[in-house]
Amino acid sequence: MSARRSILIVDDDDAICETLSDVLEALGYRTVIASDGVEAVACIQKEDFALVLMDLRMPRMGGVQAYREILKWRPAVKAIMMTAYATSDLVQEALRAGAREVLSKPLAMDRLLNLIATVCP
Amino acid sequence: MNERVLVVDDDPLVVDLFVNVLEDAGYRVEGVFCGKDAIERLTAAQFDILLADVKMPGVDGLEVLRQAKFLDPEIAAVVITGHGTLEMAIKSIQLGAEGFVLKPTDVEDLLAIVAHAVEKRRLIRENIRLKAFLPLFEVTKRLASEVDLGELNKLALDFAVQETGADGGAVLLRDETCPGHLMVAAVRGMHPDIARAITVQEAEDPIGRVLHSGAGCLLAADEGSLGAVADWAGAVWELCVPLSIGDRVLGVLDVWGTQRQDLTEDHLPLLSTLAGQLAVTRENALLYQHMESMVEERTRELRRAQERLLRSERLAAIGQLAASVAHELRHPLGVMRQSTYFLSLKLADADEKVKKHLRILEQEIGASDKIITDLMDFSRVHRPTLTEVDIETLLDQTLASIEVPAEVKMVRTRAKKLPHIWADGQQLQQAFRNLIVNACQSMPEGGMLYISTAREGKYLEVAFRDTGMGIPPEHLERIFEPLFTTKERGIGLGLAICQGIVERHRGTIEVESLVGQGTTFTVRLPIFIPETESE
Repeated sequence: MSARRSILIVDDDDAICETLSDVLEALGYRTVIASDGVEAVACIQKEDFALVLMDLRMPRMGGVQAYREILKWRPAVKAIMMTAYATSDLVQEALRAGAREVLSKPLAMDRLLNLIATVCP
Repeated sequence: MNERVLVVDDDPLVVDLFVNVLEDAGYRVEGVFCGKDAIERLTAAQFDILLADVKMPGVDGLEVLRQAKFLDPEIAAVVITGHGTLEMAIKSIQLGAEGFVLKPTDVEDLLAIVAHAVEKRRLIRENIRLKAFLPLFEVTKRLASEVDLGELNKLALDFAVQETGADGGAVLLRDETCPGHLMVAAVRGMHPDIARAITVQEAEDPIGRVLHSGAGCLLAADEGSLGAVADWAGAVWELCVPLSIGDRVLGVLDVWGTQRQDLTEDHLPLLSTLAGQLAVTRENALLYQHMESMVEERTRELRRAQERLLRSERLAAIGQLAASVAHELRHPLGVMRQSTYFLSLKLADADEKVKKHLRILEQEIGASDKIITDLMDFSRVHRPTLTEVDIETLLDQTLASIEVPAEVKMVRTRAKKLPHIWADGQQLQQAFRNLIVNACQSMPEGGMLYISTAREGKYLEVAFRDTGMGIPPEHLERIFEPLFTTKERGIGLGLAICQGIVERHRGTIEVESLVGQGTTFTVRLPIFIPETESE
């Protein structure tokens, strides 16, 4: 399957990753799970993704820093950030880093899926 | 020394001598030569001292003495006798004589005895006056404990009328709203409505005199006119004294009578003292009321401050709770939502029961999320980030983000040319959203939601009026309290958050409600220009 419909899900909460993955796979996307920024960067080095769906706050490496790293390897990868409690500073920083959108958790699924559909047509 | 003396003796030489001696001593003296004439004079005029020969043809001295004491118990009587027998002495004293003058008379003795009688009479009168003042002390005590101004006037007036034997009276005060006029503050012996309808002008009414002279006076119907109120009451005499404190004359204490024989100035000192007491007590009562209202105001402020403190304490506690709870719950809730979503994708063709349960799960997750969001919002007491905001646009955006139920019909009224305000758009949207959602929830059977904007002076007003079930009065005071709720679901933070947001914008939020008719929330936001702009 091409990278066009593949999504890297990054969150330190396994259950979030699992359920998101199941939903997206049920809708025809391919997904890979990483549990923090460091793992995400490692995954990107191995293969290409159209989109990274990533939590902002994670141990070892947070979402913003991870995305900056990712872009060094694959500048075309898009990102949608997720966060349970965002400060506006952090949101601004994520958007400045190039993230398409910052969604608050719990995720509004319809909104997420609409976004994904525009990013990975 | 202006005492009036009546001398009666059948010996013209004695009368002549006594009259001359006493007139030289400064008394006003009349002489008559028989008992009958003496009684006539005593009946016609008032005398302070009677000098009567005991032994006279016809009506004798003892009879004159008896009549004199009957007409005026306070008259001082001195008996003249050439026959100073013990029997006569005893009889005279029984009849109330103050002393004897022996014939032939020593001038010094005469003057000493008359002076003694005058002094005795003065003491008796003094005593009577003092007795009359006793009730005044009583009433003063009662006055002092009375703080209601109207009651004070009535109390003093009742006392004045009672003690002076008057038929009516009034307390007239200078009308602050209408200078030059006196208004009836209390009245006795007359219908208050009639009394109040009478115009009393300081310059024209006779009682206005006491306002300027500062001294009490007796007005008699035949010596000049009476005050308008007394005149209306059919009085023939009137006593009025000023109500004053220092140089300030507040008004007049006025009593009147309808019987000529009650006419006397004797009560003036009593009335003056009473008026003084009333004026002082009035002042004290005013002071007390002022103090009381100040204390009340301070108490209210204190209570408000306490409420604010309580709220901020609660807020801090909730804030801590919120941070941990929200953090813990947002994740599992997110998982549940995603899981449910996955199930509804996979079970798109399942039977209705399964689908219904999936919907229930989704709804409950949504409700839980709302609680958490409220908690988070409430704990986040951050200052608004001000930008220039058009309130109508903001309302449009807010409404676009809410699903107003189909049963609720919404009516927007837009004010023309509203100024932009400086506000945190996101926070305001949140406040408006809470109000709109509340309104919708209060109308489960449907109804009208009126949202209107207006400019009110320095404020911009947004009103949300629903036709819902309304809020009972006992809840109305508490609805902005954090954690106060009447909903089956919800933790009671929505309106507390609204209030917090509005107050952080230096605005106000008010509620009016009638059970069964609906509720109106009015948000007022200041139209102000940041200092950097106005300079």
